[in-house]
Amino acid sequence: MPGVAMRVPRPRSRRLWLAACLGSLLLGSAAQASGEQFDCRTLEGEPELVTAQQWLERSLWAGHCYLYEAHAVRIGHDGVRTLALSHEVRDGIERGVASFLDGPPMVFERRGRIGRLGWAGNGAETPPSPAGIADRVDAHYRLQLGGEERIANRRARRLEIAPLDNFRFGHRLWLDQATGLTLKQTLLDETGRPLETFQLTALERPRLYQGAVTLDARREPPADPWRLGWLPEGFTPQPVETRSARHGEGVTHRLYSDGLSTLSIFLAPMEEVELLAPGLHRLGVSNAAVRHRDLGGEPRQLVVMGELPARVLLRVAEALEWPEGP
Amino acid sequence: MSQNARESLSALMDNEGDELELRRLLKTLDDSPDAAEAWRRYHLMRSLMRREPDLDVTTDLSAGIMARLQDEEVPVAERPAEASAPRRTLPFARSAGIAAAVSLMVITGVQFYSGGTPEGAEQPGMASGGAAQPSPASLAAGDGSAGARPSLVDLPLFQLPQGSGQGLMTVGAGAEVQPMFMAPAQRQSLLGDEEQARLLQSYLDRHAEGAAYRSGDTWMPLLRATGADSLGQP
Repeated sequence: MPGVAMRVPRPRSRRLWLAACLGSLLLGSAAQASGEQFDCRTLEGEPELVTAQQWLERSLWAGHCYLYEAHAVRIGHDGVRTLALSHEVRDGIERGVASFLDGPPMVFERRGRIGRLGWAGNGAETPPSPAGIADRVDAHYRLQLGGEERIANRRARRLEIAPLDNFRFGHRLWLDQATGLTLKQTLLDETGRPLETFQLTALERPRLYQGAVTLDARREPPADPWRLGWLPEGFTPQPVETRSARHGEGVTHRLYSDGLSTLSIFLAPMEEVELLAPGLHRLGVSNAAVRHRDLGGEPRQLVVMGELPARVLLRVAEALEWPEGP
Repeated sequence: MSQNARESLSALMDNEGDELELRRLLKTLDDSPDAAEAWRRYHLMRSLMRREPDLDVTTDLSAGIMARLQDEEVPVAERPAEASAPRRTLPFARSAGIAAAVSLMVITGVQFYSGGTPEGAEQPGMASGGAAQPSPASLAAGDGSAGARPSLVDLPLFQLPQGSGQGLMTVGAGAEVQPMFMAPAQRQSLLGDEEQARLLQSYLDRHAEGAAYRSGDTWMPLLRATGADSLGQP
């Protein structure tokens, strides 16, 4: 995989993660004695956060470990939408529910575990996403801790995350001083203009889960006959499997991320799927490059999608190779 | 070509121009063949930089665009507002029409397909106006096929483009555009614009589910999906 290099985790992240696993054992919580969980109580005893990376990692763990209800707004392509949110953990499994309070009723639910930052196999390290992201984020983004601001009637610390190249977008986060939870975040385009903003307007009763959240299982990487000739540096394959009733089994989905930005590749024989028009599409803040190419001896539809500059997606689509193909 | 015309052209190519700017530029082109040539050259350079094959460098699209602008009837109710309207306050239909026309020029050779509001489709609008399209999305657990989908206007592709020049526009040019790299039979099997948008959204749903997996920050990617699905791997 080009541009893929697992960096050695920094001691702090490694410590936090191991301490959490050890804590699970010592505290005799629901933790299984396998280090496959993160004990949220570890966050209580954390020393004061100093660096921008420490703040980022804390916010990522907090997103998994705090139970709360909240109201929020999303400001994006469709204007301002208001939302009610809840996040809970039950038996180590997270459940997040979001519902739009205006417009047609829509509810989003996500159940799951803490993700891992890579496929297992061949001795590959598969750190939990929060630790893995914090470890490698500064290779492709410049992090800068800003001043204190007030968001949702709470004290927040601003964190600027600017890309070091023009292959990805930047982010601006406002993190809760007390819990580390993300109170506000903005996705910024290449010129620094906000594309999408998500902001809590009221955070109710944030409380630390007094137990361990389960990490996702280690997943074996799939054997794909094709390979990517180019990916932006730092993007690594993510252990994600998704399905769609509409797509059936015909469409293969692979996900790549640098921790903050993500792109998907969908590949399918043209005969087996509904066809999209080749070219570039935009859906809200997401771009999609669609190509129809002869790959592996038959025409295939290739969709590369993500919240990234369109030319990056096009280049990824162009560079995909199928060695056995004509 | 005057500096003003250059700036207008630049703004239009970046999708930041407004109607007045477009009219001004088109008039300049009429008066000055050199400027029209420069315009074509700019687009050719841009297309070459994007490595777009099958460039059509001969067609003068400006006349067609002006004709389209003139043919387009201005809704009576919108005239007063338009008279004093600052930039980017054009009614959606008109600004989208201009956007489509300009985009057609910009993407000479049409490498890009952009879906748009098909004829007869519901008028895109803010979600708060969607009461006429009840789209119940119950808290369906587990089954991705369960639950009604929101109406088409809720799909991001059909939302009002933010005319702030994001480099790519959602335009209604799809029907006039012949996608490249497709055999005729395949072209015939393409779905209509409306179905294209729904199909694209189904890909975005899977992408959003995957993106929500990667970290504790799940809300923003999650909310890009259609909703009503239970995402994740319990």
